[in-house]
Amino acid sequence: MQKTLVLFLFCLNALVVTYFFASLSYLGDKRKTNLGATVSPQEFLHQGDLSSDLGAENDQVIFRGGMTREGRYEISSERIKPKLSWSSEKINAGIHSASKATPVADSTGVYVGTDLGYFYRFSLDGEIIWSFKTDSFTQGIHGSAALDKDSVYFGNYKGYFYKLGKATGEIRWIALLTEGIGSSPTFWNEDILISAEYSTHRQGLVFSLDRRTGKKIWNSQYFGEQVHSSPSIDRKNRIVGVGDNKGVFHGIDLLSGKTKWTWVGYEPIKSTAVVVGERFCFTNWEGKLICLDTNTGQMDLEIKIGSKSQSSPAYDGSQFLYFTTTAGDLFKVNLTDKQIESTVPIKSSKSRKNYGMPSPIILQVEQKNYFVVTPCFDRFICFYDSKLKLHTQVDVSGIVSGSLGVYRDHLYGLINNGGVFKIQLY
Amino acid sequence: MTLSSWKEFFHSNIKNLNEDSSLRLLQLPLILIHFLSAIFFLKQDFLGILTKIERRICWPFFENCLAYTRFSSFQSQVLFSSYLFLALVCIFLFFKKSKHSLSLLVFLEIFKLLIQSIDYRFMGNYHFMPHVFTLVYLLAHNKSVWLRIWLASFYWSAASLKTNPEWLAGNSLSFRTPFGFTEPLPYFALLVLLIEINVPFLLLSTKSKFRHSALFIFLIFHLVSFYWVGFFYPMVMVCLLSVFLIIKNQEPININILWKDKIAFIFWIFFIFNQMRNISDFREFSLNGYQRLYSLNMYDASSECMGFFLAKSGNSWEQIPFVNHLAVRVRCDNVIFWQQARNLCREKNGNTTWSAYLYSRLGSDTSQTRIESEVDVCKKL
Repeated sequence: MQKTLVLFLFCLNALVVTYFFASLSYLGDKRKTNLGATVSPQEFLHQGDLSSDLGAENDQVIFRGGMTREGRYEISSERIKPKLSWSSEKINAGIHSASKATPVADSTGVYVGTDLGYFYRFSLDGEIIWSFKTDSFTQGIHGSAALDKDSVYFGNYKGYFYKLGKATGEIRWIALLTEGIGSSPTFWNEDILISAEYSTHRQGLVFSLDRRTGKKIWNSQYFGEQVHSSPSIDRKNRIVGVGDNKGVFHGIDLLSGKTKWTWVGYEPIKSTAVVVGERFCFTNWEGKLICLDTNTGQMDLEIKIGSKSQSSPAYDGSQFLYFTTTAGDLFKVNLTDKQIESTVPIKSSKSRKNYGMPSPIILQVEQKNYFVVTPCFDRFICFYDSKLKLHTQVDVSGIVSGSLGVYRDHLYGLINNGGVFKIQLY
Repeated sequence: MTLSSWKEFFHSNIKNLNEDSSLRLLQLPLILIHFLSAIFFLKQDFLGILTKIERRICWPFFENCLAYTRFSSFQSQVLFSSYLFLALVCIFLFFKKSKHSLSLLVFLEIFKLLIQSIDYRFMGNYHFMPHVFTLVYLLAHNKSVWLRIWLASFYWSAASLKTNPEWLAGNSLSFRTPFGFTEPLPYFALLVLLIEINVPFLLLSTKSKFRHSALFIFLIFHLVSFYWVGFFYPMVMVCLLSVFLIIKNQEPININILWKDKIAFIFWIFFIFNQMRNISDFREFSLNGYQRLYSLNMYDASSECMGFFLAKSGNSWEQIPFVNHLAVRVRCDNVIFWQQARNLCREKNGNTTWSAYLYSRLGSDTSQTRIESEVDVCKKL
């Protein structure tokens, strides 16, 4: 009897150990991360009404004007007389130090998320049409939304990524990706790309999701640090570029999500890179403007700008970049000559505010005829000509740390501790 | 059995429990478990759970518990203090060799069950196992046999429920990692499984050296488990394991002996059957709180989930999270989810339409495997 029991136990244990090694092998690929078993992309997806019309590329509205993030918009005429058209009730509380969301607008209205975790659709006249209160931690929503024909896409600081119907705010799908999304998405064909991060383990990565269903197509490898900047796309070379909080810039294959190259810096990259030809150009906390070859990641431009910056550069389409720094200066950089062309202060000498956040935009009539527009002097929106001569200021009564959205000769912004406003140009 | 035969059974049982020295001694660990339970309840925010009715989580099949279980702060403190006081009195009576210690032990069992009935969060196999053990101690004919076989069965059922990739991957242990290393976790998980399979056989041996070796192994095992599960669970098991030291008559166990006590045998088979049900679909049973109750929560997987409630009122939407920052064993529990849905339906105004969604998976899964979904949920609850 004892021998039988011993034999039985021996066989049972052998089976269990065999099963153990088989299980490890089965699970090995499924939970392959560089962190161990504690963190993996969440991959939770709630699907509602999936019958949306994605529309064409010209139906899309993306932060900084498109996947290359140039921050450049066409306007009708150079004879601008900007003035405040309306401003809404207060919807932001000034929570968290990251740049606030930039409103995006099209013919259906103005769309923006707040640091209180609400997402709004306003009419073009400033009336709230619907609101959606997300499940969010205290930081709420800081990324800017993206629009296609009948839906809006945005993330929040609890790691949720939403697709809502523009008409009524009804849910198309909600994906729980990570523990925080502070960036702004971009489209690639029928996919949508977003960078996301973890707070409990300092990690970040980029996701590509099917825009129609919300299902994941790929996620990049983990960066080893959080990521606040938004992905930019070099369409020609099919490369996605994004910087992280450790100062590393990642070049990711657009179709597979595999990392093609990394460029290692030493201070956080919080700005969103602009794609200039076949280069990613961005500012960082080291106080530099850097440009990298999109194919190889080789640095081909490095300009010291005197103080740190997390402003996303605007590109005029020929050879100039514009951005701001924490010291409170607006820079114009000549990419051909690889030097600083000029600077102007956008901060009064008495102000203690951090100005390294606002990202200027370019309102362009013709290639060499444009205005550089940026939040400035604590409460204004400043319009400069291409030589950085101040044309006019509009008082919006509050600090704007994000950027400005543009739709049909109107600008839209969000005050850090206030509401949405609209500036008409004529 | 007639009423008189039942009376005779109870009288002889009580006499046996009071007069047999080793059976009497077994009261002590059972009373100690109540003392430990009181401390554990306090650690679980007992007073907060009783007083904050808006967060009350009722048990399944007792969804209207709020009508019967509202406590003020004073009442909660009296309830807790009474339970703790009675446990201490019981220990005192035991050491005074009073026969009333047994009656008080029975009263404590009922008291604890009533406390647990107040809120679902007072569940857990570390409560269920002592309840079963005490029931067997009080009512079984051949107590020395049944107490030992039940304890061995607890370990074997725990082992059977761990024979799956989820446990063997180490995910259920990954919320705490020794020195930050996750690589050893699967091997720890395998070691736990091998201990729970093999050591109970040593426990049931008639040879004292094997029994004592097994007790030593389990002592170390539960000591190490403090790191993952805290103080309560290991101490409960150590108390129950004392049966192998206290009971003098460690006779060999076989099916004929078990069958002599038919009611106890059927009860035991029923328990085994419910463990086997879990093995057939461990994913479903791991993620479904209603199903896990049948198996007395012998296994709780490391689960992850996305849960929320959607309220629509006019042109406003609100996404309310499923409050799941609870212990690992219940953080994705659908019992709690639906109770929260009921609470929301009760609190919110009539113009709001509610929908409820819960997506869950095991830690080793990469996509959601269980979905609870209800549009306009208040109409159905």
